[in-house]
Amino acid sequence: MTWTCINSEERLAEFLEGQLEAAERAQMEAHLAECAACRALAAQVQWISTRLPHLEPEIVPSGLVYRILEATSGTAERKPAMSWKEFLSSLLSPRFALGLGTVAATLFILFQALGINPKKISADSFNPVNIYRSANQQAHLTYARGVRFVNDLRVVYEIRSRLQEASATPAPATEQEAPKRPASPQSEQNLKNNLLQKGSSLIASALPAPGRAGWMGGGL
Amino acid sequence: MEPDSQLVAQCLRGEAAAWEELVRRHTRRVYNLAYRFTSNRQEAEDLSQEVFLRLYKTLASYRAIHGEFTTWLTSVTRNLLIDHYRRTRRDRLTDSIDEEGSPAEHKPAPGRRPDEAASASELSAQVQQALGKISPELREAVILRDLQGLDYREIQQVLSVPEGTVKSRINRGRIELARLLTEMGIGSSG
Repeated sequence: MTWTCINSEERLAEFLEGQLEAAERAQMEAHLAECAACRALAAQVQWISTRLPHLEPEIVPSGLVYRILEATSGTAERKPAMSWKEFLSSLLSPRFALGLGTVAATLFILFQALGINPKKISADSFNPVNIYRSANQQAHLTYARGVRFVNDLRVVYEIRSRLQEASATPAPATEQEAPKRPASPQSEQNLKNNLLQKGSSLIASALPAPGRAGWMGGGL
Repeated sequence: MEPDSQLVAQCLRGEAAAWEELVRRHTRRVYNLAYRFTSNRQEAEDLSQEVFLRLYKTLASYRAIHGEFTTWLTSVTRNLLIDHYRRTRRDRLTDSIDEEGSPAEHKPAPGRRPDEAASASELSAQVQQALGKISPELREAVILRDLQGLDYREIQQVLSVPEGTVKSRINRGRIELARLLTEMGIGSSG
């Protein structure tokens, strides 16, 4: 029987453990002498077989025995203290970093809402009266900003709608009588002046009057 | 040191200290088997707890005819691992965010001969990476034989397959592992 690479692979473990019959061992050795690929494979498998049994076992996570005993007989001793190395490695985990980031973001939002300046924190910053005053002030500022923003939107909307109305009104008579005659510079200037005057009156009418109660009653 | 069979008998008599001793004695074996199979430390922890929970509930069913306690324990562990594997097969991501050692190729450092011994923990991580790429059938055979040190008869009991199948799986598992480690530039220079 001709010994092939397939035969070499199938019988490799037995060959390396010295379990082949003499005849088969001789055929295997003859094939390995000729075939570089099988020779390399045999060397690598032998390397693995000798290295794996001496591979370092994984360290059992701290507290696992304790948790197992708690879950089973419920008679665990006091949980062994974590070493400083285990503590440091737990700080470097992605979960801890994510939790830290979430806490930092929450504190930032809280300080912003309460008007606390992180750079000027003092004992007074945490006085309930001061916290109330700062929070009240922040709330009023936010409300005022919101009111101004909505009013700005309202002004822009009204100006645009009135300008659209103005541009949609019929053309003056002079343009209809002589459509082909190019507009004279003077009539063009008159049109621009008209539009500017209308725009100014529109802006004046769109702005809220001083002392007006608020925007919620008026609506958009 | 008391033999496992004696500890089991004491456990069945309600001696909590005997159970604690059994747990302490075998946690490392169970955890390592679970980790080498799953390549995931969190899963390995959870599965280890499941193993001992099952052991605790079924300890009375252990008999000396089942073989050594360690063989029985390994059998329980292996069955739970296979159940877990089948349950999570569809949901399994190829790359886990908690996995140490990404599946990226490991190339030897420049100027470093492939047959130079990497540090022990590096080699362990590299072998783990390669183990994760071979089929579960071959993976468990190599783990049981070369990492857990069971003999062919014990592996036959754990896997419930003929001895010929055990040898064949170990052989094919080693060959696949060898090829993967060669691609990673690890092992004998050939």
